[in-house]
Amino acid sequence: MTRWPLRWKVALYSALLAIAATIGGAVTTWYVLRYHEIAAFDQRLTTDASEFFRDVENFAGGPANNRRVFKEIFVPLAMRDKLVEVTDAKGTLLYRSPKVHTPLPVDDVKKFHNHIIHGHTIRMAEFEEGGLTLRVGDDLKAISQIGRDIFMAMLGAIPTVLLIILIGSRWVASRAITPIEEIRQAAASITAQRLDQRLPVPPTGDEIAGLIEVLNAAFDRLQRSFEQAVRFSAAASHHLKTPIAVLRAGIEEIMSDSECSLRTQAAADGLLHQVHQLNSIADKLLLLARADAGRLEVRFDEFDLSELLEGVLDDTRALAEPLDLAIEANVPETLPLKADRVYVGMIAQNLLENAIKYNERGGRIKVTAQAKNGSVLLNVGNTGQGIPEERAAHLFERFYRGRGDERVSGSGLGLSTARELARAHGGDVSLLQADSTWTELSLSLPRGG
Amino acid sequence: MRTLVVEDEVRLARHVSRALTNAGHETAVVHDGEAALADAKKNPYELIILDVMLPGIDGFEVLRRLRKAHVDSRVLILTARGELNDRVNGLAMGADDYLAKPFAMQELVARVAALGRRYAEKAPIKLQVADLTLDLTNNEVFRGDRRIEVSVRELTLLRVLMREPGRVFSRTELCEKVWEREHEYDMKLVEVFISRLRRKIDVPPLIHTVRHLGYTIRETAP
Repeated sequence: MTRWPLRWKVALYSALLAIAATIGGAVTTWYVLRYHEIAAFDQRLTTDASEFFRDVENFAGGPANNRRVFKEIFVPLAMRDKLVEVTDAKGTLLYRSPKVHTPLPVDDVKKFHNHIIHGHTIRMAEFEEGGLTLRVGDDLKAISQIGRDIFMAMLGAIPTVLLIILIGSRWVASRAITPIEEIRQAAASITAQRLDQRLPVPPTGDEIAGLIEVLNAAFDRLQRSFEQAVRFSAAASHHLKTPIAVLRAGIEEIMSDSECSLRTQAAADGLLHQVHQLNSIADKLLLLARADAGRLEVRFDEFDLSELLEGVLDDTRALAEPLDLAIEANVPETLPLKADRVYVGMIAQNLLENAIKYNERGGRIKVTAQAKNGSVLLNVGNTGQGIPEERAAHLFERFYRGRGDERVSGSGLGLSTARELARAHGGDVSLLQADSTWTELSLSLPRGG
Repeated sequence: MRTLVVEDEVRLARHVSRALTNAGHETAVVHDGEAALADAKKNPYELIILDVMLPGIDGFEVLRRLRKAHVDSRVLILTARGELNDRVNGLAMGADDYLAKPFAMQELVARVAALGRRYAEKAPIKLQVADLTLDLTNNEVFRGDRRIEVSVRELTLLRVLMREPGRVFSRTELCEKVWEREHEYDMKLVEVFISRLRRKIDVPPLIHTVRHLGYTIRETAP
């Protein structure tokens, strides 16, 4: 659906309503007028009839006499233009006006009634007095003309009305919307870095002012929870790291005790390794908490990505050895980059770990690093089962593991962390390909930080 | 060295104090910022080990007030945050060194020893164990007259082992020293690189496995 600006929608609806109102008004006027015109018309016919009967009586010089021969002269001149038929009590036609070409309908013409005769709407009535029956009717043309006039007047008025309403209501709507536009701009300027900003409440006390108050209250709550999140990441760091530090110090003390048996020392070393794992998970959680709070601190250093990759590739070759993986690396001699060395190391390690984890025996890994258009790109591709489409959509979610099996170890924090870190640099990690033969992920970072 | 440990986590303070005492230092412990300020102004400590997150006045504030009061003890900052800006902050405020929790106690003891030295020791140029040499200036490795090509990680591993011949390094410790950042790499990685190094340099064997414990480099088997 196309999005119409609100002010145009208001204008359009107003115009449509105006047209409907004009038509409604015209129809009502037409009906009322017609009702009164017809009443007057009937009155005229009645007056004509009574005049006719009076004249007949007068000519006779006494009460109506059936035996007298009816003459045209009895009919008043004003009536001769109308449709007139006069019959006696036996139904014998005594007079018919020249306008009547076919006999007038006899049935149901007791009271006023409309008949279509030769394409004309004729209103007729029948009167009886002194043995004479008078059927008189006249064309309603004049009244229909009034209806046509009203219709034409309405047609003529609609474009003007439409234009006035369209422009007028658009202006009114614009005025009504102006504060909303101001709210929109003010709300857009409230970001994670400027959460203390509030929308100005107009002194009008109307619905808009009410809305702004509600919005400001929502921003208050947002700011509070955001600040809590920031405080949490600092406090959580302390609360997590201190017991880990105590654990580590305790285990190391056991290991350095000369009376401690070798078996105990070995067991303690195993525990120490678990403490490292725990610490590593805590680090990542804190990293994500900081990223959420918008407080991820990136320290930009000049370093050589090729040198960093050399170490990571060294590890990869060692880890890939039991799986018989062929590792192909296209890394230039040097690849200077301005970024956070530690974070970039984590991302690269992560991508390569995944390339091993989700590979298959005898498979391949291809690593390509290059500078391109002010960016540094690191592509890591691997053979393997690939990632089904519905899972690819969740690939960068926290704690999401690409496959359901438990064979693959790890916390599942990896790719989401990698992406957050890359984005903190103004770069990204994205999935380039994921079919049944080849999976390829790409890290891009702005070269100059 | 007269050392004051300022750490609100009592058990950690106890471990640190015990390790430093074992290393021959005279150690006192306080658990909050006010006590640290009072104690440090009264007694001339050579070194203060200062936690950042303290109840009341935090570590950075303690450091600021100490420097303002012209207490010139050396200061080693301990922080749970591990964020780089903490380090920059601390060093800018006049701390002498910085260590992120959780730290290896040996590392702390080594840092304390280094801070105790008036001048930095001259770094050795060449490491040697029997007829195996590692030239730190150009990273060349020789077994007798035979030059050995090693990869980056192999070189780092060899350097860690050769700096302290005879000392037994656990896998965890090597993992941390060679790969620096604590990570989730399989500890098998250590074994893989040890066996690679052995294949390259080890006739007659120099790198020895100490059962249940780890690895050491020395001339003769224990």
